[in-house]
Amino acid sequence: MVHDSERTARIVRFFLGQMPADERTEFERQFLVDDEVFEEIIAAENDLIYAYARGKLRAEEKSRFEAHFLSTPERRERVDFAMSLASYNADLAARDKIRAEPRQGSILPFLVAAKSLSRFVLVAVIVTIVFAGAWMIRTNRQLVREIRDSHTREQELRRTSADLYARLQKERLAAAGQPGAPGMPLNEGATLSLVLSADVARSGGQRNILPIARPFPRIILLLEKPYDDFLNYDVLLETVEGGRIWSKKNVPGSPASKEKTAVPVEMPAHLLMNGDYVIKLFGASPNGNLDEIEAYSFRVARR
Amino acid sequence: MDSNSLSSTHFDALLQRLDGDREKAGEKYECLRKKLVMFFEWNSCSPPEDLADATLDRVAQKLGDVTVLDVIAFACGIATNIVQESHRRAMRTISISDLPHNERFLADSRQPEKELQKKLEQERRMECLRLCIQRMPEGDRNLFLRYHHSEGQSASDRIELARSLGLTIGALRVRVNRMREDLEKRVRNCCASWRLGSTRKEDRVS
Repeated sequence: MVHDSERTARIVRFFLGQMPADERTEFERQFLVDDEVFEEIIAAENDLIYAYARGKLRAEEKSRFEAHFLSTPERRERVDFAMSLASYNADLAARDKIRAEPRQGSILPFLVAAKSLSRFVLVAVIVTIVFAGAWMIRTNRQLVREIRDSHTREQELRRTSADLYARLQKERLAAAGQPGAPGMPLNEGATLSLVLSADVARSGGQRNILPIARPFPRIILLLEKPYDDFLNYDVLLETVEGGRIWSKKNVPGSPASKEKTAVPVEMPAHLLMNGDYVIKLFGASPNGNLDEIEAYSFRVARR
Repeated sequence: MDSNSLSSTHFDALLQRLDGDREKAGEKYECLRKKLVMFFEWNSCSPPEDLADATLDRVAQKLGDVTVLDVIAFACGIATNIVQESHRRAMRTISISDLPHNERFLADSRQPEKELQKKLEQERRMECLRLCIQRMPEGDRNLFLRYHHSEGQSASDRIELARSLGLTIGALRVRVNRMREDLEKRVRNCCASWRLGSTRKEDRVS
């Protein structure tokens, strides 16, 4: 035990029975007379007990302490208390040490390393998320651009298809010779065409009239309808009374514009006499049934 | 009436010699008694409280018989005599541990139950100590723990602590010692109430 003054060292000598008798008598008289000295002795005694409890006494001090001091039950009880206090403070000191400085061989460096590692992992995850996010945004924009280009190309194709279709129709009409184009020589392979919109008659529109001025061998009816997913259609020609005249299966449709499909139906011209007719379009559903899609009515006027 | 017992006249005379003010005289009496208790304890005389009371009784009785100039010095002389008497008595007493074949008498202390009991007592004391330290006023607790926490309990650490508080090392030691005495008393009470069967922490810590 380290003493902070000669006075403390003297007090310790008193407690360990190392004080000569004369000095001891004088010392005892002092503390009985002087309150301050008495308080100081009490405090020094407690420090001595605490030093013993913490194992801070030198070997000689320790053996003297045990032989001379621990002679009464009261003192042993005070030593027990001091040991508890020392144990409590040792726990506190250990906790403070762990907080203050990582020691080699302890679990603390691992915890610190784990903390650093988890920080590194966190940073890596954040960087990955940022890069992945940027890549996804870039890819998304690219896809949007491609879809827009695809739409544009589709529109161009539709326009081209419509133009080609219109040109074909025009050429066919020119080749067949329009009614009112007298003097036009009869071509054996000539065809009369008529564009029919989805049942105009039923919607209150103008009736489609097919004027046949000459004996055409074939007639082509272009049935326009809103765009759908069918590739082929079945066609049925009836009188307005419902009498079946003619039918044809698997007639392909082709795009007429962005919203419309045209189904060209070619039939022998001799089937059509003067009168009113209805031509029906059927689409094959996935379960094999035929669903009526559109109906077109027209009148044949032979001259 | 026992010849050694203290009459109220003698007691009043003792108080009068300690101080003219009766209240202050009472405080001085208690202070002297406390010193005497410690005096006997430090001289390994048991039981110290009884011996301190016996000393004061004798001082009070003698005051009427002899002229005493300094009561404290007189009490010191009487206490020294009582220490010698106590030691003589102790020499005539044979301790159980000094008896031949004492192993038979000491057998109990080596029984596992006793060891277990001791361990339980230690655990209770630790628990009580924790509770009582937690209950200390924050300033006192911090000072108390810093004082005992000084690495190696070196003198310089404590001198530094005293300086930081504007105290001398002696004043610091006395201040901490008072806290320790109070804490020790509370822990003792806590352990006693535990032994009595109180399980509530609130009851254990007064």
